[in-house]
Amino acid sequence: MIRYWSEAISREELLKALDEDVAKWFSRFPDLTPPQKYGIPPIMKGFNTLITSPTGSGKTLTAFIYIISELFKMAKRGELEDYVYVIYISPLRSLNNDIYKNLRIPLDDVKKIIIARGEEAPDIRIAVRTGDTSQSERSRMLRKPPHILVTTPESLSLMITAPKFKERLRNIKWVIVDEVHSLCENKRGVHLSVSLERLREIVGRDFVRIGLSATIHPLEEVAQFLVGYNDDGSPRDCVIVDARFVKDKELRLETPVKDLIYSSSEERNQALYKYLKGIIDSHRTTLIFTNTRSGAERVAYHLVKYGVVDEDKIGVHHSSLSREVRWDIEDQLKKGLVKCVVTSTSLELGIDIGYIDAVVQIGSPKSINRGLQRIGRSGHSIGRVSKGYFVVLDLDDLIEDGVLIAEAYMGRLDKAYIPRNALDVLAQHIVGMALERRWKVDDAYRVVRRAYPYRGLSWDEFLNLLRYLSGKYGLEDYRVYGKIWFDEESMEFGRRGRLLRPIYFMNVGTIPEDMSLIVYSGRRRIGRLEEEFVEHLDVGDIFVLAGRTFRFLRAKGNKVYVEPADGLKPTVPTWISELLPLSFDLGEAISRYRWILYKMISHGYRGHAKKFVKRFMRASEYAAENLVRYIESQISFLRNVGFPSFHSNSNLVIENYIDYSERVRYVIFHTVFGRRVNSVLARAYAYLIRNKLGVSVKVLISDHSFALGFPLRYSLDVNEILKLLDSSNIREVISEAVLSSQYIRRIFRHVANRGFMILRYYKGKKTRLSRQQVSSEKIFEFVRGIREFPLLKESIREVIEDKMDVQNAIRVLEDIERGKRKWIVLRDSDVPSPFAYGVLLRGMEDVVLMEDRVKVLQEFYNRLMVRLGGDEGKTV
Amino acid sequence: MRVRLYKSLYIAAPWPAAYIEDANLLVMSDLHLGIEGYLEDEGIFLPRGVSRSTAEIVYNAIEDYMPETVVFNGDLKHSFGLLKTSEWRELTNFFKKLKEEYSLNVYVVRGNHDNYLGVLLDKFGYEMVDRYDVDYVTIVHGHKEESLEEFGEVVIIGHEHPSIVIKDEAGGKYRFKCFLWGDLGDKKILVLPPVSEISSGTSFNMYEYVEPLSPLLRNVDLGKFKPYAIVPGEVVRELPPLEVLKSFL
Repeated sequence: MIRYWSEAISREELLKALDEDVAKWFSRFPDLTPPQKYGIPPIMKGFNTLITSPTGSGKTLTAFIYIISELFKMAKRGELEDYVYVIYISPLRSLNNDIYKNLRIPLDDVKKIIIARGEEAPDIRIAVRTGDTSQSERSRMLRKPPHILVTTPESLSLMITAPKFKERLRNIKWVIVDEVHSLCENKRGVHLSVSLERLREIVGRDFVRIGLSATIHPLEEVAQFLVGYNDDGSPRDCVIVDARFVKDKELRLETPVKDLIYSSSEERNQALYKYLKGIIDSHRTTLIFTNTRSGAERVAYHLVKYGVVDEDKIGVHHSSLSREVRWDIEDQLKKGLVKCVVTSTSLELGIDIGYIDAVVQIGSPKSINRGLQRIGRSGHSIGRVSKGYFVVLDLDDLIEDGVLIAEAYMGRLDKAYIPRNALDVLAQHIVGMALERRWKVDDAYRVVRRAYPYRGLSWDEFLNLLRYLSGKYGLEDYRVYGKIWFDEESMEFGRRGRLLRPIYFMNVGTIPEDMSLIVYSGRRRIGRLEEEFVEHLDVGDIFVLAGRTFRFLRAKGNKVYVEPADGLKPTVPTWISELLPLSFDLGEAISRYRWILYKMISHGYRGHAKKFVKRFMRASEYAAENLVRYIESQISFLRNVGFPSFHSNSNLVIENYIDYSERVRYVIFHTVFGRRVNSVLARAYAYLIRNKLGVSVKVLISDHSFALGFPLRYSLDVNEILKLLDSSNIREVISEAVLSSQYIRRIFRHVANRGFMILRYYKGKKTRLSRQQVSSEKIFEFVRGIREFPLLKESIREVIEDKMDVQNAIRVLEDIERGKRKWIVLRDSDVPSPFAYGVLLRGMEDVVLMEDRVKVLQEFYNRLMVRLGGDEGKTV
Repeated sequence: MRVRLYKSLYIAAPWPAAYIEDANLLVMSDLHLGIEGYLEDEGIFLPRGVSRSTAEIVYNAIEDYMPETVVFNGDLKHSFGLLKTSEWRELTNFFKKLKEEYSLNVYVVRGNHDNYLGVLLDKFGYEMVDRYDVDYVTIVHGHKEESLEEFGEVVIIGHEHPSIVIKDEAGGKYRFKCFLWGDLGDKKILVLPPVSEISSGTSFNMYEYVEPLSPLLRNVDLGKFKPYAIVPGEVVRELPPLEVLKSFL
């Protein structure tokens, strides 16, 4: 059962309960922080506990103080043996190092207290074990295991598979998972959840699980994720300690120019940096968030160029930079040596980054949680005010940030999403389990299903995965490539082959590796490109890198050769996969606020609307003016095409824009559901249109809408297409549509890596597809025909459930079926509406491809003939 | 179905093969049989059936054209070294079928992947040759410099794995394997597409930027070459020369 905890412990009670020497050390703190007051009691009682509170509120000690005290008590009783008793897991290596340092302090100090008393102090050992830990350190840990082990999810999964070290884990009493909020939403967390169950098998009894989380919602579900289920399927118990306290925040919404539409980009930029200068100058340390790595680089570059900050007083921090560079910046931040740091997402989480008194968000953070998390990086300790400045240069970002601010002040949060039944991650664990020992299939299935993300895993899917791993796919007479043996008679499985252990150890993990290649133009180094992106380039293709266009010539080893192609149109779209999607909940809120503003404006209360924006969205005069004008211009567009009302949660407007110059019809669906939902709806409708018209359909997707484009010569009744999709067939339609999209080809490669089909490392070297004369595209084409193949199924699942959001798309369609929402189809227009600019100019592109290649060739040929005006070729 | 290119030389549409009518002979290149076993050694584990589907294409082409002789123009197998168990089995099944069901004359022109194939060929009484000449046609794999003088009027090569990429109006990209047909000095040259479905190759859309794998194609006027795009088993489509085509791609 999941329940909330509300009994506090007083400082005196706690000190009495702790080991006397630990108590003496802890008494240096004048008072308990809120998470300590409420979080320590359930841990003392041995309950599984999820504690949520803001960073910098003493969470670490909440989790550890009682445990440290227990370890000292055990040591004094002579019961502390050479085993690991506590495992602390966090997703960030830098956080691990911090925790290590922070725990050394009490351990060393308590020791000193004991020694000062003239007694011999017990040695409580603590160690960090990550991918960076050397072989010799590991052997040392085996001989003298640390009592407290600090590690990452990946290293944990290796430890529980290591035959000798695993023995040192038999006495685990406590497992602490930090940053649960960031783990539960992705495959790393899924991976960890099964590791914990495997650990539970090794220990042979339940251990106490302690989760630490920043703000997240719904807490009950996250708690269940932390603790999982019992063998009989009943949920394990967990106590939730909600120690969020209201941290005062001061948020501002700003547009640096008076008119976002009619200002030049030059003007906007100058105004932006002038505004940033104002903030940076009036604070000690400013942290600036952009949403992309390239954006972070650009902003930092301009800040120096415009003389806002000295070059040695500014830093850039993002995930493409080397670890050393990042650590250096973190260090400088802690020491207060920099005036300003620009980052994409990498400084969002974890480690204490020292004194920051202002956070600037450029553009939209896309979710309330993330917005708050980022703003919370300033005033990073109790009693300090978080200051956040949202500055936008785009009208859609403006309303997003405005609504985010308004919702944040009302205490609203986005709902977390936990992926389920990921078959690629499970494949890794089955291999890991096979390495441990021989398993009865029943037993393995039971263990796996104790993990929250696999509660609903079907027996058939599990068997199917075992068959894949044992090499039973394709021709039955070949059994060569099995990694495990699986006997369907005795229903047992186990390891096979000597190579399996190195495969597991080299390839375990869930984070797709960005293999980057160095790009050269002549002898000059231009930058880096992901190998995957390069794989999709053909000789002669033109693409954008660092703001310039280049022509791809060839790739050799880890080098890519290009030549400048200034002024030429790119032939391949730039990937914007790193852009964060707008959350569904924030999208719904945007629709509500749009409607409120529409109501005010259309009733003649423009001034009130502006005041409303200033008051609730903390907007500046410019920001409020821009926002109100944006709504007004959309109202007048809608009036012109004869629609007397406005976009709302229930009015889903569909615009018909005809681009006569390109001779393309765009059907634009105004659905503020975020890209994850819009991706589902867009591709599903595109797929239906493609089947109806027999033509490839261009798809443009944004957080606020999506557009489907096809040649004007085809006529289409939109209402008829709308009827073809409903809540009962959408899953099937989107699965088929996704199989015909270019997007899944990329995802498949990651899944094939994770599912050990395409190994990243093998026999001591790195595997490169390109060197093997095959492309992942071709492999995908082949696998695509085998619909039951687990990794194909997983690719589809990951795309439609995790990357996209089919569940909320189904909800939307159900609402339409129940009459809660309705489509409103507007008449044709030769200009797009103001709300449609965003998607048309910056929408994420994809194409739902034609299945029939013969027809593709035929159509291409027909177009060719029209252009050539003759009979150049013929069909054979 | 077939497309005449020169005298009695045809593209054996809709298959990735050439047919020489006078000699009743079919030429196919780059089967890369057993590629799964090879890739497995490199850490890439494909579901079984890739080689099987390649072999199916060969059987279908044979049944369509009923030749007396089949010439495999190089890279029949994929690995460069000794035959792997998987390749041995794949190739044995393959040759067995050619011998027992179709009673064909088979010649294998040596490609860069075809080392150590001799023993197996001997078992079936098949011969491995460096090149195969019939009437006015010379068949070589194309991975080496060759002196053109001794060649027939037409040279057929493989090795290159040519393809072209077609974009549709929505910007969707589709890759098609293709034949290339053009001039090689005073002779003609036909580049065959690979039969193997999985191995990638060179796309010739931007032929000016392409550095062909085959030395034979390095000093030719690629712009004048005509691609014939193929969907194996379905269609072969003649397209205008690369220099004309390039503005549409």
